[in-house]
Amino acid sequence: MKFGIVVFPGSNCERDSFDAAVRALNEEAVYLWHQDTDLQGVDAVILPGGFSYGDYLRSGALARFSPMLNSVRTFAEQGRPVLGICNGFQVLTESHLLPGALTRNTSLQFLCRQVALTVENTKTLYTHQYTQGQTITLPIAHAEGNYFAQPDTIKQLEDNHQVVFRYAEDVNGSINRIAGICNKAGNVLGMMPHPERNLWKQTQWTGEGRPLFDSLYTSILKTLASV
Amino acid sequence: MTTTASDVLIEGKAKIVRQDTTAHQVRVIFKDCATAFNGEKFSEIPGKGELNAKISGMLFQLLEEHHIPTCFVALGESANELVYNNLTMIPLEVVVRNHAYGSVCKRFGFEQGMAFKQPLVEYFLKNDAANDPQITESMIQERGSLPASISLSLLERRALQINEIFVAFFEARGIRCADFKLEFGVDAQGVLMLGDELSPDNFRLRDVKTAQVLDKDVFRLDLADLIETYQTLLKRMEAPTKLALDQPRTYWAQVFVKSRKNILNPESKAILTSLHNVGFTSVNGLQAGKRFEVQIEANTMMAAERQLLKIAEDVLSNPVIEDFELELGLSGGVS
Repeated sequence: MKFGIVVFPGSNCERDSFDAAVRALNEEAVYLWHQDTDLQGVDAVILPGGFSYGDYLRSGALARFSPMLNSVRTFAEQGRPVLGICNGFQVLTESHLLPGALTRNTSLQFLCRQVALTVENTKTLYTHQYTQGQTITLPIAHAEGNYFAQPDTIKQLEDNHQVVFRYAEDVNGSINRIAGICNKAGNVLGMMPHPERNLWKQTQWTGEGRPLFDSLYTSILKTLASV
Repeated sequence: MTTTASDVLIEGKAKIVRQDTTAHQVRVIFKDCATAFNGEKFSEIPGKGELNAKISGMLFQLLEEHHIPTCFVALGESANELVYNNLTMIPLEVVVRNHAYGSVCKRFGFEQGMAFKQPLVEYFLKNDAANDPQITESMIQERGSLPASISLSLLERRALQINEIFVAFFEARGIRCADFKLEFGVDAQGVLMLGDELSPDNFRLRDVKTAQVLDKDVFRLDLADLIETYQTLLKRMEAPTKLALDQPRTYWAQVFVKSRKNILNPESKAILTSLHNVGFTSVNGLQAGKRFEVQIEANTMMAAERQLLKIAEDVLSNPVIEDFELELGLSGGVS
């Protein structure tokens, strides 16, 4: 199994995602340079955190126009897994692969701390190894994580159970305390918290971000087996 | 098709507007009469309606080819008739002048025929009783003449975009497009559309070499036979001359991006709080935004606008949270 981690100028969490695949899951991973178009036969794409293109114009806005994102869009439209973490989530909304927008935190501060989240939907390929309503702790590190969408979009997200993670309490002003959403098909997930930064617990790969990668791993295994 | 008196929506000096069988559409019948000096001079001229319908139809189609939204739908059943989309008309006459003729000479003392440094746009209120007086921006606001979706700067830009196409079209036929009058309206969605007519009644067209008058001035000033003149013009318009709009030129634009009204903008709020903290307590509203200066190449200003709208919507702004405004002009006008 091969994971592809897209690297933009200004990405800074690509190594953490690489480690999640290679060290936690013992699988293969490759970096996908933003100027390239070849996805190198990967089974899942991770858009990592960071400040792609220096956050110029709007966070995630310019990454959308990179050649690699075109390939990722086609990949996503084929129903293949695309996970956007933090800046990756911003890239996904700017690319219209997920609805809404991530705006400045209401506090105006860059927030870098552990936050409690509830897992709202365990039926996705990213979360089936969590339990419904489970509270987990993951780190956040962002200035623009305040999720916004028009009321009808929010209603659709809630009605379709596309809100996958919710902050236990308000941290950045996000509507309905939304921390992570998936698309309608469920193969594209965007989230502000960093699951790849909580893989370890007391020298074991048992951090609370781990089940997300385990879920993704078994989901891919299942699809590979069915082909 | 039979017509009854009841389907007449409006009858003016030059046209009759009838309801079409298709909803939202009207049939415009061009009348065989000529008027000048706000109706003081009047004449019945058989054949004029047909010529005006033909010329208008041609010019509307020319504009449509260049993506200018107009009321034009199709040529009518009879030769003096055109089918339009029904618009809510804006009660303004928008006059574009490239050369000085007529009232502008009287009002500002310009020498007849002199070329302006850049095209001028003037506005007149449509009001026969008051002799269609010239009107200023603040008076337009006072009278509420514009629909909510339309700004005067859009009206001016569109007039200049149309002018660019007309100048090129007539220039390619050895004709100087000195000035013309436009009337605009909005469709049911509030989109600005060119309406009225595009006949030589509303233009000043002069042969570049001989200065021969090819417009209604022949009637106003008793210079020549109107029908013969309009026929000459139509013939020259029908010549398959290529439009000189294939050379890209540079346009300057500004795009202003700001948060949408119902969206909390923490940055603006923080600046406002800081202003209050340092004692500027009289400031009770502030909206931070972005401004982009864009230089763009296009064959026409309308083509530039279409590109810029796409750029502003797809790239410079995020429509989920932001609105934008566009200003666009010829070189040096903005930026």
